[in-house]
Amino acid sequence: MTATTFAWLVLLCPLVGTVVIALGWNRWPGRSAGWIGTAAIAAAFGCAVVTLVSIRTRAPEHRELSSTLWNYAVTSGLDAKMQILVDPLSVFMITVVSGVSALIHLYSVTYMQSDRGFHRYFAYLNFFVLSMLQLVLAGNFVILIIGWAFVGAASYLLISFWYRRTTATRAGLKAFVINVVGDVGLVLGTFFIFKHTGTVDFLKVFALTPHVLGHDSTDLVVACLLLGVGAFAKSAQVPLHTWLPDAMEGPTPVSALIHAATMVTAGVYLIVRMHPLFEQAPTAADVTAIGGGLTLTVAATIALVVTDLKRVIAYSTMSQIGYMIMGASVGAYSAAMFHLMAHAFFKALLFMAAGSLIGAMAGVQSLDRMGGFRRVLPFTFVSFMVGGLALTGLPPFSGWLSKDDILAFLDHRGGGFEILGVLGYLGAFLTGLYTFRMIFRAFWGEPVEEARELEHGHLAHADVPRNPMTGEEEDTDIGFPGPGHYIAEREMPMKVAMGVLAVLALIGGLIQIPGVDLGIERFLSTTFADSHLVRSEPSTASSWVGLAIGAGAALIAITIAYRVWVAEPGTATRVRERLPALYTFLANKWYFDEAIDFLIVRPALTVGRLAGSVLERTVIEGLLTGGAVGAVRVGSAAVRRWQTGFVRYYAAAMLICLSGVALYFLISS
Amino acid sequence: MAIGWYLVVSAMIFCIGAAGVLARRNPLVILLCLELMLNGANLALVAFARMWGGEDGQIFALIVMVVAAGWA
Repeated sequence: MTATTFAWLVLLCPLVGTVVIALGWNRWPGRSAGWIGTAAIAAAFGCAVVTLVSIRTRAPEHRELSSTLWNYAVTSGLDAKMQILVDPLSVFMITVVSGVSALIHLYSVTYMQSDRGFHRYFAYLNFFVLSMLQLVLAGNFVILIIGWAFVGAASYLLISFWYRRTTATRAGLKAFVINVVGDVGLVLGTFFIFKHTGTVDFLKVFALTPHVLGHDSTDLVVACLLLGVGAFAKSAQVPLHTWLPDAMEGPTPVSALIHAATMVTAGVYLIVRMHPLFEQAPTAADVTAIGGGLTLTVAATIALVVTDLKRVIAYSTMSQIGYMIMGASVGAYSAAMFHLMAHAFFKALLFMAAGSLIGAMAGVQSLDRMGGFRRVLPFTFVSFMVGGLALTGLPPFSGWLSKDDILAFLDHRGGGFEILGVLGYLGAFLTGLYTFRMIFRAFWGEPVEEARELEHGHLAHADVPRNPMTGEEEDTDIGFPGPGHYIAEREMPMKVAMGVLAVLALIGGLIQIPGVDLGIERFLSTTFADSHLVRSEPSTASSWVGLAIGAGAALIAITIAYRVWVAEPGTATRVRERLPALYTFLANKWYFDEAIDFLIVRPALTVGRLAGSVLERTVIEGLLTGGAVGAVRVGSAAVRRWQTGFVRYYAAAMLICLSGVALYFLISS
Repeated sequence: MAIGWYLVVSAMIFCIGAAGVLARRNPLVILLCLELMLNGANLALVAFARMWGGEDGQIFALIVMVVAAGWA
């Protein structure tokens, strides 16, 4: 069995899981559907590891394998095949994706056990992972687009999983619509590439592009920008990010899945996968780099004022993905992938810990209501701390090594990119601030009622479950969250999943340390062998300078956060009162929703209404439909008069017409 | 003898027949007039056949007669 066989098995496992759970939806007793789902993804992870090992045994120059199962269509130059590309990059991704997803499935088995949609949940979850794995393994644009669209569909299904919650269904729609914008970008970009290269096969496209499309030619830049639109929509980058905070309406493990493994990383992967194109189109790469830099700052500032626990983490994801997009756009590919992996670990961990905390609060997500959970939730607290420290980038956590790897590359690249590097360090400072604002507010301070109850062994229970966003009353029937709440301290599967991730978040960065060993870079070097940007790696010394600055920024941020939220409580309120305009601006999330509403939604609605009243009523119904009916009516009335029933009239008409024909031929001859 | 005279006679017979078909109400007379039209056409066919010295037109005329005999 070769590496490609196992790569196909990686795709097969979640597919089988989805089908098995979906077909037996009401027959699987108890939590068995959850265990089937977890086993399917764990099997996929096993196959991914085998693929990884078997590809490592090959010589570095023979690590790019393409495998085709069958042809979809071979016509007029299009060669749409069921084809996967197994190279270090895709193998690295499938290992991370399936591994983190397996842990999230394990966590969900407990977390969702009281939900009436348990089976549906796991069928969707398996499908989500399948879509992402297909996207990652795709060997040509057609399979990539299918996986891309599947991911969008699966995210829609899971965000609006509690389908009787109006906020959830709206959030699902929003995510889907914005993702379709990205899909359109991706498809159009593919078309531009296909138009010039005549193929959709990745390897052929990469080989042909430098010859058929000139360096920085208009068509290539447009194609890369369109691919960038797809990446920005999927990865929630400014201005296509507004769906991500709303996606917090889904169950907490789904948020973990979307943020850590299966969705928002797709944009980063796309840019890294398309690096031969982006390197030929530096203009487009600069645009995406600046977009990433903007996003990381915008998201970090918003995260400073958001009070919803899950939304703070959501904005931190946006910010961290901004780092990755920036890194992937300037050529720090292995650093971006390294940060992607580290982020997957600590972000999944943060969401799981947040889920446990929300369980202790009986579904309440507002930071204003939380406090003092440090002692009663020791395991959750430690996990949250590990995740938070990794996110902040404190040594020796994984986030420190990975994030500053990107920033060191930016500073080293020069040519104006140092500005983005400075922006990145500013973002790192803000990251420390909002992360520890969240931690200090939830775990320090006076214990709230739920925390005191828990001290006596009572897990808080809401008499009337309410929507955490609107406060509307709900029931616990299907379509709403189940009645049960779970904390990691009491549930083994949650504990195991969080424990593994905490260890990974702690030590996961050690596989790539400047000056010691660059494990990821070495492994991925086959994929990036054709890149001319990779060769300009920063030296070990300058990398360490970058790491020191990053660690310093994080430390200062944590100190400030401690003073503001623990040592002198009330400082935050005073700052807010002194800068009301800035606070309103940030609390309204830079008015992106309003701007999109004003610039796109409203004009589109107006145009739609106008089309309905003017185009539809007057032109279509009045002119086209009415005109056709009128013409037939007038014509038939005229013809009806000839239908007299007298043979002689018919004979006369025949004679006249025939005479006319004869006359015509006489004249024309 | 020039072909023109034959054609004039043929056209006259045809027109008389056509006028009869259009003007008369008696079905029997209409049929007779139709016969006149066919004969006018036959005359033209035979005249042309003679002009070209071929037999196609004559055969055509015979077939027309057969058809006319058939429905009369």
